Amino acid sequence: MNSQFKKGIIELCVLSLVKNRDYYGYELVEEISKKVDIAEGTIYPILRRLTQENYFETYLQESDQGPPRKYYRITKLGRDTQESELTEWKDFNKNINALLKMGEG
Amino acid sequence: MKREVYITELGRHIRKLPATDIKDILADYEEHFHNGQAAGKTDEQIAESLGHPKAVGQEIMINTLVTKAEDSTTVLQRAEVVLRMLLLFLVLAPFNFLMLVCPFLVLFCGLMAGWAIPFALAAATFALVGFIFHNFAMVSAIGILTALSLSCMWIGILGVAVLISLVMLVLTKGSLNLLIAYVKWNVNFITARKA
Repeated sequence: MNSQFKKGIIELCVLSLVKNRDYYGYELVEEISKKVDIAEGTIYPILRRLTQENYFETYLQESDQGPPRKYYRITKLGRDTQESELTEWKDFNKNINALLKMGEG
Repeated sequence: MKREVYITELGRHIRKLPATDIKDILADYEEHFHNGQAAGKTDEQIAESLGHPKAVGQEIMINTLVTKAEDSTTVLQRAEVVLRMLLLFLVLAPFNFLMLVCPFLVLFCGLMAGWAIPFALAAATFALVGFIFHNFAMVSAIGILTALSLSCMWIGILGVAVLISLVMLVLTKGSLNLLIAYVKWNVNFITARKA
């Protein structure tokens, strides 16, 4: 898949995962890079931005292995944003699929 | 690449950020290394999938500038951020820089030409009014009433100049927003390419 395109959709993926349950950075990054080929280091700036825009709030939680982990929890604003972005994505997807069908004849 | 080397290298590329931001950002990557090690990966494997610290650092810098551009309110602040982004692009991606700089130059020339109009009008007004009243012979020759009415007309022109200035201010703001949006689009293009 075109990497520029990929980039834009990562934000929605991150929002959608955290909407379901709280994640810490590493497992979130692993979850995404399992499915999408992306430099993992570029996901943290996205997490940071989403937190700065108040879509996420963070809290620290002790772990049995090593230092405490920073968890991300979605806010009301984040939830609303995820919903509208998901709708946009679905519409976009539907239209592109329709166009591709026309190409198949 | 060992964890310490990676963190130091990344820190070097984001050293221009405020100290608290650097600390926060590096802590995220430290934590990532720790969790990776706990999952049984070597530092080399973790560093490899993170991406080169230089690329990651540059992405953080651009993101910060874009956010700053969106947050800054005055035209001057915005203009400064746009200029700094352009400079960053010159280093990061010379080809994209060309794609950026062409529309930038066109916009810049257009705006400059637009701004020249009110200034030229204002300058001409002051020069003419000054010339007439400076020279009393001139006033008596055309009559005081004519001189006054001419002055009034020039004050009107001055008003038009101010009006054009206001329009230009709005246009300049709009152009800067447009540039920022365009830069953001390019940022995605560049950073995604490295992924």
